[in-house]
Amino acid sequence: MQNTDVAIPVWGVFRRLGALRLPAVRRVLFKQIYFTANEAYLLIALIGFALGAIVVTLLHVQYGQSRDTALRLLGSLTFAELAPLLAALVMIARSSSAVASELANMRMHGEFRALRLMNIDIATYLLLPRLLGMALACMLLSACMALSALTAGLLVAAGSHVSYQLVTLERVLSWQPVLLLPAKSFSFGLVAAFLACRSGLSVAALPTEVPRATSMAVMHGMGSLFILDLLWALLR
Amino acid sequence: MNGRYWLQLPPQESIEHGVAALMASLQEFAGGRVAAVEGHAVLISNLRVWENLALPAWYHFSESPDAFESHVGGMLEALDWDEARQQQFTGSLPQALSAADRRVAQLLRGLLLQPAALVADAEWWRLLGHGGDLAALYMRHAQNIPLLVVSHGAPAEGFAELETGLDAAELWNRIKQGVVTNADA
Repeated sequence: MQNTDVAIPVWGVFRRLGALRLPAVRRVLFKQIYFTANEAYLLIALIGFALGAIVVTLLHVQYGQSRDTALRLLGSLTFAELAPLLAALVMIARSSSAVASELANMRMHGEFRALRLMNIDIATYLLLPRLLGMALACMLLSACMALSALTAGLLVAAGSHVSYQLVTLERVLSWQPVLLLPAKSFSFGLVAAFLACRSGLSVAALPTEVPRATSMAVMHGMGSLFILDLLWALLR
Repeated sequence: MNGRYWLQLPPQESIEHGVAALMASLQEFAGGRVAAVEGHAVLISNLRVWENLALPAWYHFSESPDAFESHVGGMLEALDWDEARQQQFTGSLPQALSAADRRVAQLLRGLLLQPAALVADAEWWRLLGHGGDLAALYMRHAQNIPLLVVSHGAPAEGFAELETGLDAAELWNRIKQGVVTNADA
């Protein structure tokens, strides 16, 4: 069993952005985006669709709000709040645990040392693509969820007149929440990825510590997500 | 024959650290073209074997993994494997390989770098003496590459002993100049 006690500065990773010019690093980045975003988008779309239908049904059918008001609320709620938060929660449940256990296992099996012997920088090759990949994937998943929710909302509110609602979309959706979505979701993804990497790197290189790393990644990720969302709310 | 060097460490010093320290100092001079080979060969578990073979050259020199296909095929000829065995070897995940095959993959990975030197631990050198695929590959493609073995034991026959406090620059000069071994002398 191997142990690598050399500290890896996770935040220092962003000084290595230039390494993205290396094809080997880009490949890890694309794989991370694929596993985090592509394999989750159907679930995210389904959750978004259900969410949009539920919100509009509640507001329009049960609380008697007008169609436009219900859609306006749906637009600002999903794009600015619910989609980034829920997509990040799903991502943390699926991918943070996977990243943490993968890194903890690699460390335990001496793969970090093997990479160092090949003069391959751990932060550049392993951490940078994971941080960036999860942050970008979180943006994509949030956009997917918001668009699915809006589609469901339009279908529930307008029924067969959905095409009319589409051409007047600017009445229900302002630019502010649309621009807020990528910024918020990127920050959520980045923090979740940082905590997942840190969990994978911080535990002892022992088989019994791998589940601990996984659990830490999910718990810390979820906790930080809500704190960060609160900070965004205060900032606005 | 190029140089063979033996670094004998005191018993309290770990071989692993000795190999790592030697690699770190030599990489500086060799521009990434030094390969480590150890008895316990470690490959990257989330990459297939062909990706593992290409990784150092791909990372350091941006050489496309596809470019290595014929090169790997050529090297594997030394092993007398049929095409199915070669495909199964290169397409597997490291976990599916035997320890002996992982050592073959480790040496191949190093050779694809066209290394200026190989750094080995004593266990690897011992296993090389057992023959098999590893020895066949080494004899065909690596025996002219300078070899540095890190061990707790006394130097094997044919090796020049390195002083433990030797400066990395001096060591690199010796490798480059192909200083003859004790046996050659």
